Amino acid sequence: MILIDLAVRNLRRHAVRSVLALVGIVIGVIALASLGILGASLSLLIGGLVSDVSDTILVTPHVAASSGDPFDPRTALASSLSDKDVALIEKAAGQNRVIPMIRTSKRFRADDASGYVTVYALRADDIPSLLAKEAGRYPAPASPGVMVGSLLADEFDLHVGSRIEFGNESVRVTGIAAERGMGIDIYPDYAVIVTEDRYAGQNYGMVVVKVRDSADIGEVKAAIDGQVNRRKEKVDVLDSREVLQIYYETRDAISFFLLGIGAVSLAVASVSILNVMIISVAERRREIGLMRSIGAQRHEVLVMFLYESLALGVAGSITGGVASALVGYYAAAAASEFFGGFGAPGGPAAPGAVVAGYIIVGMAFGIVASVLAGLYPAWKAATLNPIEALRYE
Amino acid sequence: MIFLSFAVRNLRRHWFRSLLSVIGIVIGVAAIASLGIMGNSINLLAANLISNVGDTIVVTPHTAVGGTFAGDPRTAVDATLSSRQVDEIRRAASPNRVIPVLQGADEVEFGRGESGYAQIIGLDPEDIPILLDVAAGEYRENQPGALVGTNLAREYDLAPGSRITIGGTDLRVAGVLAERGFAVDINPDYAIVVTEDWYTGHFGTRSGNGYAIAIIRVGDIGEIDAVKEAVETQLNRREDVVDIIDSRDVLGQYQEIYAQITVFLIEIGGISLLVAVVNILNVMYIAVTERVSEIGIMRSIGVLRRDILKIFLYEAAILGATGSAVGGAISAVAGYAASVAAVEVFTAGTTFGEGFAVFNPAAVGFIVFGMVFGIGTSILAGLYPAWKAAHLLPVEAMRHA
Repeated sequence: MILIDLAVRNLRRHAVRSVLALVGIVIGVIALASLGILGASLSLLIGGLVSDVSDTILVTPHVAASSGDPFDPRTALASSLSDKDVALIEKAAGQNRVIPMIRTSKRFRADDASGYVTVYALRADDIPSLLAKEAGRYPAPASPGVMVGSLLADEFDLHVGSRIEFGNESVRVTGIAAERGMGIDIYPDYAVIVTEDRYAGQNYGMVVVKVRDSADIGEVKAAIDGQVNRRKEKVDVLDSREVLQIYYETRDAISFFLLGIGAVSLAVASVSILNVMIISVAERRREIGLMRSIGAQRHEVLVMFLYESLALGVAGSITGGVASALVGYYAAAAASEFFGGFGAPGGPAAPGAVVAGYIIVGMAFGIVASVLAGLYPAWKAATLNPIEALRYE
Repeated sequence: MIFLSFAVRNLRRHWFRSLLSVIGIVIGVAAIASLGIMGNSINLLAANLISNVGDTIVVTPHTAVGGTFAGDPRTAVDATLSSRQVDEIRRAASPNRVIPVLQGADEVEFGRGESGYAQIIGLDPEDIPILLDVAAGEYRENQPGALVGTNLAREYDLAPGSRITIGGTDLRVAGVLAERGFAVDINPDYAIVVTEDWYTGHFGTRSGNGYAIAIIRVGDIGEIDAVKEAVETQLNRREDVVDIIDSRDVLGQYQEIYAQITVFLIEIGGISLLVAVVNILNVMYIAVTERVSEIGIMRSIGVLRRDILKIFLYEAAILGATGSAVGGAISAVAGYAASVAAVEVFTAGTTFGEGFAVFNPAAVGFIVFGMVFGIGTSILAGLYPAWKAAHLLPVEAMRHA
């Protein structure tokens, strides 16, 4: 314990330089933890936008020179698949549910506002397997009711029973779909969902295959490809995993990058601690010589200096950890606001456990970096020759 | 100059701590400059993808939601404008040229058994030369033929004279369009452009094949707002029928976003420099405490306060300048590497930005900025210790052991 007391006394004696070294660690820990929190919040925002439908295969008409990116604007082409194509896909997909759909648009009016909205037309019995409902019921065949996406309902204050003008007819909202985010298949949140009998005779724009056992995805894809693309390339077959892969990689790269930048600040801070410790070892040579001559062991001198850098690291990390809870929250809120302007649903802040995780990581890194920076000076102090050290000055 | 050599001697005497301080500055400057360069490259990538059509107003059917920013997925609604609406737009925008655009898709056979859906754009023959540049071949008004987007032509090896089949109808490729990139109006790089007559003859006039957008080319840029206003009052009088975007708004939005990204990157780079500067402050502060008696002696033999101040400021400046020079050199390399990595991440899995070369003269600006910032903040950090040294009482200072 006496070694800890000595270490603390030494730090106190040079209060200004200890505080400045602390400031470095505090900033480094804040940078690491808050950038980590920011990265996690960004991931959440992106996650909120993109809905991961892991059991989905998407079949679309083959686009010339396609890039494989489902959010490529060209995949919104008004291309179509015929009933015959759908029958082939159904044959290839076996037991798995095949959901053909028409994506079109219609003029829509609710109270005083009007404009075109996206319309998805599906077979009535497919709708429940693709969309969860928030209120009301699913559209039934040959009934005049429609289902609306949850964000469209929020925007125009629609409820089950509201009356809207849809094309040239007046229809009742009979159901509201639950919020889903942008999937590779459909983006229903701002759309109207109806049964396909309204568009009888029209070709389908795409076909979604829901695979029961996700281990079968590759097999089903190959079967569809073999069945439909035998003679010529008629359709593009994508599965959500390979598509989302790119997005996950981008997200991870951004998080990793932000953490890396934070780590650079912390590295600079530990250089600063190294510097301060080297200076104090040089200054206290006589004192070290004296301690050694009255029987202090090498390892005790080593431990004393390590305690000093440890104390700096712990104090700096605690302060930094507390501050980064605040800074990280504000950074995440700012990012959320920035992306909120882009139609991202009101992004939730990163959950407490994740925030705490990054703060703990930041603090642990701060302490470890400080102790590492103290190692060389402490070793130098411990291996001083006592006689030489006493003679100094 | 003697004070400068004093400063150098002092730094040399404690070369290890000077080195460590310099390393801090090196990392800080390299972080600021590299991140600035990276932001700039992301900017360049975006600018490269987005084609600037400065004098353009785009009129689209009004969508119920969205439209607060360019590329909003909520506005990707395949609604169309009727010819009556186009006439109204013409009347409102007169005498500026209004170019209604037909957009659809059909299965195209490119020969050698290759086929796929491609976007078909139908334009009035008179409008084609105004809107698009032909890179190869030539466009003749009265000769039927298709103009093929550059990326499509490259992918399927099409040249003027090649034959393609659109939805079963044979057509000659009259020309290949120049690369244009994303624009607020149309993106023809992957499309096939045909005449309006051919388009309606092929697709018929069934619903869903109306005009997707109408482009207004404003002769005098100063009139853009007036034209927008006129279209707005003419068409949206009773209720919102059309959305009106002008290219300046859209570009402005993108520029704002990318400027914000660059500023954010420089700011987080600045954190490292801040830590490095605190380190310099600390080292200088320690140096002053250590050299109290030396300062006392110097003052007693007639050295002036401002000379003492100068010695310490020189020390801080030398640390800053050395660190900044090394950091600047490193950031030229690090910035390039970071830019390449960022461009790769942002274009992963897409065909955008292939062979895009990062780096332009602005990158040098970021390096200079980082270095100036590094030197400036180092001197600032030296100010307080130097001031403290200069204001020591000579008698007190000499008495200090």
